Amino acid sequence: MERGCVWDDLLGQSRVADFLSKAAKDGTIAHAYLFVGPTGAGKKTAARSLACALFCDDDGCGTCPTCYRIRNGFHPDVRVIEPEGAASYVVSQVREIIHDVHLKPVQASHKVYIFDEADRFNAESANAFLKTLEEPPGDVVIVLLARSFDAVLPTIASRCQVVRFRAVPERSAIGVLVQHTGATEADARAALAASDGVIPRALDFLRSPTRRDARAKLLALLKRLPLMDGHDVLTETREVLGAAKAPVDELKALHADELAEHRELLGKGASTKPLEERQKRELTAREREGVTELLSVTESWLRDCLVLSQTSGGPVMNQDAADAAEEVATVITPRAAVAALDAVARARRRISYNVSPQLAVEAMLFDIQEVLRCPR
Amino acid sequence: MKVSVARGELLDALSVVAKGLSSRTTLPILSGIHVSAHGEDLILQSTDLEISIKTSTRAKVEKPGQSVLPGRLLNDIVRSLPEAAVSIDVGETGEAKVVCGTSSFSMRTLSADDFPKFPEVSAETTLSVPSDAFAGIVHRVSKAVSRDETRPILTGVLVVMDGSDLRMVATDSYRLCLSEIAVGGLSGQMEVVVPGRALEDVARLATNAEALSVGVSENQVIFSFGATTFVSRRIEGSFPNYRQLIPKEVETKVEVDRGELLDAIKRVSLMAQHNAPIRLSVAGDEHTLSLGAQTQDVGEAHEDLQVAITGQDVEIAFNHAYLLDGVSVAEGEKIAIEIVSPLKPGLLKVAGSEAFVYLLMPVRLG
Repeated sequence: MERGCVWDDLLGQSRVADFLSKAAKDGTIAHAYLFVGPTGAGKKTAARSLACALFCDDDGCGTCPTCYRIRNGFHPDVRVIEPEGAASYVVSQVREIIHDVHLKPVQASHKVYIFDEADRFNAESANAFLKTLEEPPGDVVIVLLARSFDAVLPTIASRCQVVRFRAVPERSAIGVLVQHTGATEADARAALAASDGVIPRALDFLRSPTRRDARAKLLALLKRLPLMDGHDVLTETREVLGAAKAPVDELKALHADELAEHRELLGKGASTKPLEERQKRELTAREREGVTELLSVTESWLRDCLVLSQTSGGPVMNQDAADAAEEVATVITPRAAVAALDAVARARRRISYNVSPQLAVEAMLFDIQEVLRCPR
Repeated sequence: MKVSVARGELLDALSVVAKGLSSRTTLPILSGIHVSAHGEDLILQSTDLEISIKTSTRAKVEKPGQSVLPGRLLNDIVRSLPEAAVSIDVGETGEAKVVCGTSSFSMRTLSADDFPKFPEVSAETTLSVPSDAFAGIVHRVSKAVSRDETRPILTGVLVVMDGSDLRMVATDSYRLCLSEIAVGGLSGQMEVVVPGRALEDVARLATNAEALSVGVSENQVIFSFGATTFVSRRIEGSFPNYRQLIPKEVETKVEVDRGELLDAIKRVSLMAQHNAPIRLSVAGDEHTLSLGAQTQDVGEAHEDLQVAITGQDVEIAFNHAYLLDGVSVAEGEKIAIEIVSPLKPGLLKVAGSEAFVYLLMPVRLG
């Protein structure tokens, strides 16, 4: 199907692109959409592309000033909204949006509101928003983005047309990573494994030496794990976690700069609370991500062991640690490998319950060590 | 870009555009003032995406160009400077230098390309109003503008241009205020809903100008006065049909001196605490309008006014703050209070005129 170039940004989601571009072209756009799909599947890109297709005279050419403004976040009629509270959208923020919804557009024919993380509406902010979501003025398009349908409050989800995004296939994901960072295919595959297949996170991973360093340290630890005594495991775990924390410090420095700039622009008296809360959220998310990354690396390496034990020379995710995996593969049984993978899943669950990441990772490594020492 | 401009003129222009600065943290660019220099003009712009303000002042332009400077900071700096020529110099590095006499400041700037484009709108309908008349009409209706965002249309003022009249209507669903003035230079008919805040800002900013022109386009309303252009987005939706709300026939009509009534309401409302209403009793035989208020466990107040009455005796109660608002914005010696029945809205008018109507919902008598 013919469609504007702006949809080319959306990788591996041709069904979604066809559907949305057709709706924009035929003028059958709904008042509210709920985009559901894993992080990195291109939901926000799709929402922006939709705005381009609606505003642009050429069905979203991707190059005119209007499209440029939308794609870079300067267009006054396209608002991207993120939760302002520590854990959720807040009522005052929703009210401000409602006020804007009922004003006429600044320059375009429509107004597009993109709500990131729509699963973070709590009961109060959702209630404040429902009426507007149900029947906004005719020129308003609301796009809600969420990772899963079930996480969104039913009162919100039932008022939207649901558009499902699939995870980007590995092949094309690797292609994108190689094209953007110039990394080798093996590195790109390892990055994808570390970031659970989320492309933007994999890009960050490839660009961050500290995060790659943390991964290398962990793989070195896994290689020597069967030979280490308890004390060694504890000290090395601490070291690996320390390495995983390094990117957090980079982020902190970035935040300090941002805050200073904000003060300079808005004057000393201006409230910095929303900004600080956003930064705090980012920091917590980054810390979590660091640990999750370690778990994902462990998981993918164990998977490599399992694959190599069953096939000879099967596809491995972590090419650089393949020798260690092969060594393990010669002795490990599928049941033992699954037991080790279970240990990782356990650690994930524990961390989601707010168990200290260090404790969870230590326990996991001890479990894996047991499996590796007697792999039958 | 390099310009120099007299401090007083710069400050005047800055305080105009300061009204349009946004405090929203998500878009730092909106906290800046867009400064551009061309020919012999220094043009300043600001926007919070709801309203946009552009104003210009004469300046000596040494090098034309444009930039975005931190709004509040620039304002504070210029305010604190002595009366002399101020020079603003934005270099290639993006650093701005503000120099006046022996004091100099340097600050970071933002990219002018990121600043939202000033809405280029061509008005379909325009009219010109003396600014004091405009300020008056805005002052009268603005009290009745709703602050409640749950019904966004009511946070706006309905501006009607009809024949030779400019009419404004505002309501918060408890009261409705209509005020109109006759103006010349009208072209065509138009009904628009403009955010109340924008109208108040315009009325305040335009006090120095003789007259202002109001233009309406599909999505925006444009006010121009002096060297300033003020653009506000219109509110979507249809305003309640105010004509059918205003009763045509009334049972009781009271004419009262405005000053006396205002003072009496102020006194009696002291006893109308915790939202207790103020009670108006009309007694035709005694030619009195009695005002009474009572708060449980506190006490009560009472005052009689000598008034001219036509029609039946009646007793009605109103919220005291809303009643006070209505009487205080009405301009005229005498006020007419018109009542249909205790459970139907009452009317306040300037006696002998239909140019000001304040419709007020009654409170049920306990």
